[in-house]
Amino acid sequence: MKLGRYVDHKYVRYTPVDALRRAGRFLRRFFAPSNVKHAFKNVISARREYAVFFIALIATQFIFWSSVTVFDSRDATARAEASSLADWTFAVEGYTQEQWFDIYNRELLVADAREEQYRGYVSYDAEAYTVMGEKLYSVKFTLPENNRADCDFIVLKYSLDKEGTSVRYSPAVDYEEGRLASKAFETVVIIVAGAISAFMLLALFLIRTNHYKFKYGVYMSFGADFEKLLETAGWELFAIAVITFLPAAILGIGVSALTIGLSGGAFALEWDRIPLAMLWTFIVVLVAVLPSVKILSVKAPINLLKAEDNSNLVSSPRRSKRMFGKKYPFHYELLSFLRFRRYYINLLASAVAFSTFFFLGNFLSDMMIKSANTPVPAYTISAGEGGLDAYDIEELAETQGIDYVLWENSVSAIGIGAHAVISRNQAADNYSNTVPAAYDESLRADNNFKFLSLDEFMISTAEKNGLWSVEGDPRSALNEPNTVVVSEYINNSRDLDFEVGDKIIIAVFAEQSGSIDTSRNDKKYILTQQLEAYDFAYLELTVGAVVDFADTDGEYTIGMSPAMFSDITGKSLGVSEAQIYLEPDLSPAEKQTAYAAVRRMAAICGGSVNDTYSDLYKAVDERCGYQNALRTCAVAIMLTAPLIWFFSQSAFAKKRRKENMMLSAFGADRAAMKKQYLASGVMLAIPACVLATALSTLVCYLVFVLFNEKLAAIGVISGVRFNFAISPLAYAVCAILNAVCAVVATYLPFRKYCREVDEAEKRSRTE
Amino acid sequence: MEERRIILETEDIIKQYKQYDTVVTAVNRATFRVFDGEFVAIIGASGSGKSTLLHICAGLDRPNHGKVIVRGNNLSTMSADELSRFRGNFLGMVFQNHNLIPQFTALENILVPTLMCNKPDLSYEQHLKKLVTTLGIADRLHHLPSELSGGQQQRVAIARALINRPQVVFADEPTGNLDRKNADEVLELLIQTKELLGQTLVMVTHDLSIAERADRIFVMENGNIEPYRR
Repeated sequence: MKLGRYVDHKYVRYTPVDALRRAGRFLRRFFAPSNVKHAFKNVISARREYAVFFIALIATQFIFWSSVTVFDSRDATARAEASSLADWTFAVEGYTQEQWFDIYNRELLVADAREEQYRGYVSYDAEAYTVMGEKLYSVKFTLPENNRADCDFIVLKYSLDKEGTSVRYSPAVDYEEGRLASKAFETVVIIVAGAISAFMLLALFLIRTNHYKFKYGVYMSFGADFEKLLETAGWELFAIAVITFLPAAILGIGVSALTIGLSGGAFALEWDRIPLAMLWTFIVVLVAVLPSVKILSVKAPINLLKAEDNSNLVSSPRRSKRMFGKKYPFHYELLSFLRFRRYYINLLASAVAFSTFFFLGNFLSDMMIKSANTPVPAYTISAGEGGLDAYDIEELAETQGIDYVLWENSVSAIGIGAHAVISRNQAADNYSNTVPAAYDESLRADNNFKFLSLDEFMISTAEKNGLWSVEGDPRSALNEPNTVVVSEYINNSRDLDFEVGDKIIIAVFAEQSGSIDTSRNDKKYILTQQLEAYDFAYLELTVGAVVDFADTDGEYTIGMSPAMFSDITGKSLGVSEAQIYLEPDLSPAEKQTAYAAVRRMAAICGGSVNDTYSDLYKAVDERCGYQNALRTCAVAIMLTAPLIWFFSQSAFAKKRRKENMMLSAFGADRAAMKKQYLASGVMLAIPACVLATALSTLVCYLVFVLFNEKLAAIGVISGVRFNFAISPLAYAVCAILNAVCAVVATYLPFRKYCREVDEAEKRSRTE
Repeated sequence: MEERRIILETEDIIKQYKQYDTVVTAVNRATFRVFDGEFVAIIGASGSGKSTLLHICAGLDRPNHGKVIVRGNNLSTMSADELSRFRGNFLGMVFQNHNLIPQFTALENILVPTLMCNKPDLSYEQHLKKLVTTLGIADRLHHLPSELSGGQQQRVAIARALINRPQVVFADEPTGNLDRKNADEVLELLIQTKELLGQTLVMVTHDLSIAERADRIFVMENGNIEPYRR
């Protein structure tokens, strides 16, 4: 909308009051009953003309309803699951008898007696257990609300957090705490769905305004300005949106409810989704209509009136002479393809865009499935000062119910002033953290890695559970002198290229001979400083195995024997964190046994246990996963590609009607014309298939890089290595659909033309 | 003697089209004036630029150079929206090929300008009745354009141009597609309504016998406009 007006042919900006008044006037006019009445009458009486918009608006609203149904059902399923897992709000683990009695007598009983407002607010249940002969208590507290802030308040109020204890929140509290992130994700999905829907409607509306530009040209000749065109065009779509609201809602909710029901999830839908759906549809339609109407409104009406028959024609007298000596119908249609290239490019771009969305939806769905299937630790132990040793880990791993335990004893090279000297070939072209090495200027120095202590138990755990992809023998790092294993990935991106048998040199800090600037955190800058100011001891090592650890972060890994690790890093062998993975399908009692063992181990090492509630989130994903909804929406979007094909081609055929009649008048028979149209369809089908495949692959690859590398680099996604692989079925569906649509959508309007001509002939004979 | 008010004034209008390497000058420095209430005819051979000039004067197209002033408003400096509203309120246009919307009935086509300017249909009822009776299409109002003859379609186009009581009516060969009898009738109707509503009529034609009925005649040749000496 304009922000000013012309006064005496000079543009004057509106004051805020003017602008508000004008907006009010526009809205009053826009929502005038006559507009609404006209719009409904128009779209109902010309329903065949608007059929494509009826289908498109059902598809877009279907996407909205399926999405929100999944969100709400997921929420209900998660809450139900969380409540079934724990009937308490938070628990404090590891009280000694003295600590617990002190809290019980001095805090809880006194509060119950003195503070009326808190009487009965907290209920608690203490459970005793023994660790190394000492009696400890785990106390479960229950509050009216599953709210983290309430828990923290109670912990503070009654001084519940004592030395050597750890606070553990129930799955319900954990889930409620993550709700904000879920809501943000939902908002992003709704916005993206809106953008795709608006794009779909915009593509269709541009075809419509192009086809009906004559009508709009007449409107403009007789006074229609931008606002009036917006009222006229906008209300047509709003009316269709209102008519299709209920069927689309029933379809979207129904399909999602069915999918969720079949997976065992709980169906739920919030009432506030109805006004949200209305608002969403209104915005989507407005965004779709605004650009096309704006484009129309700035055109000279005479151009719209005159250009009706040749709007897409880009022929020129010079090109026309190519017609000489050419044959009908193939050469003729080939030239037509050239003449109408602008139209065909637009058509291909719009149709292919929707195939791309379909591809992308499937690709993202596959990524989500992989992400959901990636094992997540059930518990993590953060060890105290002494850390966990290899015996503790082995004991944990052998506990009933525990599948395996992962741990890591590592030190970053940058933390101890060390670096590696590697050859140019060992770093990928786009890897930029290396600088010329002081050891040998022809080699590169790099400090973007960590030293990892390996042992036999770690290697056998990885082998037994298929956690690593290995080239070479990882045990060579334990059994052979000066041998290490290396990884090549940084944030899921393969930035290094090592071969078994390669030599790498580790430079270990010896002494400092100059000062360094510590004001910057940039690793490369720090390395450059260190190379100038430090003296190093160099150690030549052989790569015994190249290991893909699957889980990557911002550094690659050089793994070595515990002895070498201690020599280089000067660090003891204690483990600060262990990740515990449970066996699948454990009963609650088995889980409790496993948890007791983990809690005991945490108590022994003076650490704490963090419950990740991975089984809760896994169950929610299985019963109410986003992936099914995403796939359904991708199919819905894919089904709009035929709409584009058929709507656009039938409108285009009307423009070529006179051309057909002329060809017929000058001797073209039906068979030849049929060949002409089929040839046109095939000529469209070939680029459609190629473009759809190429563009879909490109877009999916870009999304793959975004998720696998860029988001991994900033920590949004970690622990999942995605593979760039697109399902051949998706390729086949996309290519076949586009090819069939191209041929059929081109040929059908010709059949219709033939039928109409035959009917007209029959009528004239009868008369 | 009462001074006549200028309602339409053009100054140095140039309109060129670029067709690949060739530049075609459709209107070349056209300057002329039309007074309020006058009937002006523009004649010329096919391709002389008369329709282009008329479209520019009616604000349907923009010149490459020059000014068009209607009722004291410079159309060249108006925004697209302002121009649309101006056309709706003050100008009427009869196209050579009628330009009726095929999906609309005759009545709906006639009412298009009132819808575009948000003028309520009811206030126009009397005017509409009078117009369609005068134009002889009262019994054809609920027919589609395809069900009307060429003469009837042109009458509907004239009714559409006049429904908003425009001050200036532009007619582009309104009789071009009609036989002599129908042509005479349509011309008579245009002149009659012009007199009745005190309008200004600017008509493009290639038929000198029709142009002879005008108060003044301009002739166009190769994009240039000059007064025609009878």
